[in-house]
Amino acid sequence: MPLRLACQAMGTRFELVLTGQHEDQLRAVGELALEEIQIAHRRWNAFASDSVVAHLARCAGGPEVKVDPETFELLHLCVEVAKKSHGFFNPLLGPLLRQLGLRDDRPEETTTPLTTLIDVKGISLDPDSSSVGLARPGMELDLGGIAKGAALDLAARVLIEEGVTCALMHGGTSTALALDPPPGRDAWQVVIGTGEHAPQALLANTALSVSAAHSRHGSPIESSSETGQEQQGHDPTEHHSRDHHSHILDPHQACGTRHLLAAAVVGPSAAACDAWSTALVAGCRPTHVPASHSLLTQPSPDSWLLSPGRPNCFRIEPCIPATPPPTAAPF
Amino acid sequence: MHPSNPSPDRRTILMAGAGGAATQILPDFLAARPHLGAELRVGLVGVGRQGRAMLAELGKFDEVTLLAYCDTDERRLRSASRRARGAQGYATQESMLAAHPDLDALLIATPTHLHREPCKEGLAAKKHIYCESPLAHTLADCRAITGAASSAGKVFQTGYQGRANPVYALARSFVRSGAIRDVVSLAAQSNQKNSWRTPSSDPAREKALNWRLDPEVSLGLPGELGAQQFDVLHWFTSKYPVRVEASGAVLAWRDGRQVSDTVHAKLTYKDGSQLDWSATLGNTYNGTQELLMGTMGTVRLAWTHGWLFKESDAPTQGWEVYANRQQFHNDEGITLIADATKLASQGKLKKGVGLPHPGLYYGLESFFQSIAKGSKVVCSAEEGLRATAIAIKVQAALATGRPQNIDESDLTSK
Repeated sequence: MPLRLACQAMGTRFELVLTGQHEDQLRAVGELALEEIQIAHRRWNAFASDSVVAHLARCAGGPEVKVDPETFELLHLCVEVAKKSHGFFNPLLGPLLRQLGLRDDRPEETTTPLTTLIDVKGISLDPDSSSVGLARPGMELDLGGIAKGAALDLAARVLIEEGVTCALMHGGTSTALALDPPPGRDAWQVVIGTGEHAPQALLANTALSVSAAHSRHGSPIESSSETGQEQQGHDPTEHHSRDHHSHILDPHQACGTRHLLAAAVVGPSAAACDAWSTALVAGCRPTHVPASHSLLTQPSPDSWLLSPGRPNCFRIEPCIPATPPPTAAPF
Repeated sequence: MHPSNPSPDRRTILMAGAGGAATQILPDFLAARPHLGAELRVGLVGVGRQGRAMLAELGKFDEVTLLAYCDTDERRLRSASRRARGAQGYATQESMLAAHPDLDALLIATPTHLHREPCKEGLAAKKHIYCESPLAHTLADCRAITGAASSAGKVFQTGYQGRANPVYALARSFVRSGAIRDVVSLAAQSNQKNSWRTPSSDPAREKALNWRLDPEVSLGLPGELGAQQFDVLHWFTSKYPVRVEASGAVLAWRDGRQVSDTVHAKLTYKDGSQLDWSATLGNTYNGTQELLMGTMGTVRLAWTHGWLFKESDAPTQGWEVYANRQQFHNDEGITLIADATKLASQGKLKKGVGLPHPGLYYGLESFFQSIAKGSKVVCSAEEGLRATAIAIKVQAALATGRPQNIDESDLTSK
């Protein structure tokens, strides 16, 4: 019987499904993994005053701030994906979200242009001192999904260190991370969306992230499941988009994206998968995503496209041959 | 007003809020980096849960270098190696000290019943010591530690974090300046949902790793959760209970354990006032917080946050016009903001709601300041002994089912 544990963090619900022989031991390890997620929440939650990212925002325009190794690694990943995605992934969109009315808190009074506040070049990283700086007052990190992914990566590390090898975890059902599959199965089957022909991701020691362009309340990424199958769906507790805006922004157009309906990415790191799925929906070309990642994109409501030349971790029926999406990115 | 605790500068807040000169200097507690003025080399003894938390906070201090750490558990040593870059891991404190005689300070994060020897060994080696709370699991061990600390001539700080917490310091200044007038009731709770089990794939290590569930050595919830809160309330009121009663049971985790997972205690003071304290491992509602209720108001403390709720007949102060407020059902709380004057002068009062670091950070920072600048230790071994002694008495009341009287002599190091 699998053991399920859950906690609230980062404005959503994290859940762990663990299998093993000794429930007390499994629970103890699972609680340690949940602790790791809570620690990640305290560090990376932009809405909590005692988080590291809130502290970085307060210190923006001042000297660099020394941070813990995991925060440094996460911000390094953010900058790396931002560069490789040609800016379609951007961890500095807080001011833009506010301008579009997608965040309730009042904007910082600043005369700095918005384009400067969301310019990733304004993030400085000093690996020697493990320090991070934001160049101008008013800049702030809004890590969103990538923080959820990073929390899952850290939780997985705890499980592995403590000898739990068979597990599936998700954060808000939009990002999942699998260790070994349940006994007798080749993979954890994760259904993406709803409907008879909803695609499935097959996960074994890999992570999955699904990003959708439209309002979470209309998300197609839901499904039913049974043991060994988990759901990808909208999370009603998350901050969601309003009106006509996509909840994922195209940083180049400073508005909600219209490039893809959804994108699913499978790869070794949940944080990286989350960053890349966000970038794809925002407008990043699939060719910019590292070749080790498996990609599935949804350009229109009835079609899912597999990116060729990559490992295939998805099952789609009927199989649709890959063709360039009709609204390709400008690069 | 307590002579050593001046009232917050309300006039300054009022003036600043009315348009005082703005400055871009952030308050000290929001500063990017603490400045110690000295390079410190530290070693960490024990890298379990609390040790890991310390590792995360140590990384924030520019002038503090973690040179080494030790733990008897190999798996924990491996885990620590990736969190403590550049530091060396050792299986024993002895080998760590032998390899690093240049360490300035030791942080003791071993299980509570294993504090005595690391503290004594560290003090004998002339190291400054930060010892996690509670100080020890018996009064005899507490006294052995305080004795060693008093004769070593080094900085010794017990890890009761409330005393270093900027929000708590501000709240205390309000309480001691009469903001809530006469304290009529105290309450505290520590609620979490956690089995308190530590993973152990090796049966031989099970007992050692799950020491919190071992009734022979564990102070249970009163010691591991309550002691921090008892200390806060003693610090605020300068009162120590004279009698404690406690009851508890295993209600959430019926796995054969003997240590209660849910506890209620009543601590009675000489003037007849009482502290109602409860803790559970089966529910998270309202988490960890302390309440001081007075005839003119209530102070509610939640570690990174604090609020003042005024009675309707309490006098109104001019600065309240500019205060940040938060609604809790029928009650409106004034948010307690450390360094509010500076923030108000910059129009950034809301930026100060909540602390930018967890309580542990401030405990460590004050310890390092004491070493580097000679500032007064926020919680000495003797103070640590007093809060720990109360926790020991509560646990004794819980274990025996009988009320325990507390005598002055129970709270002294002799």
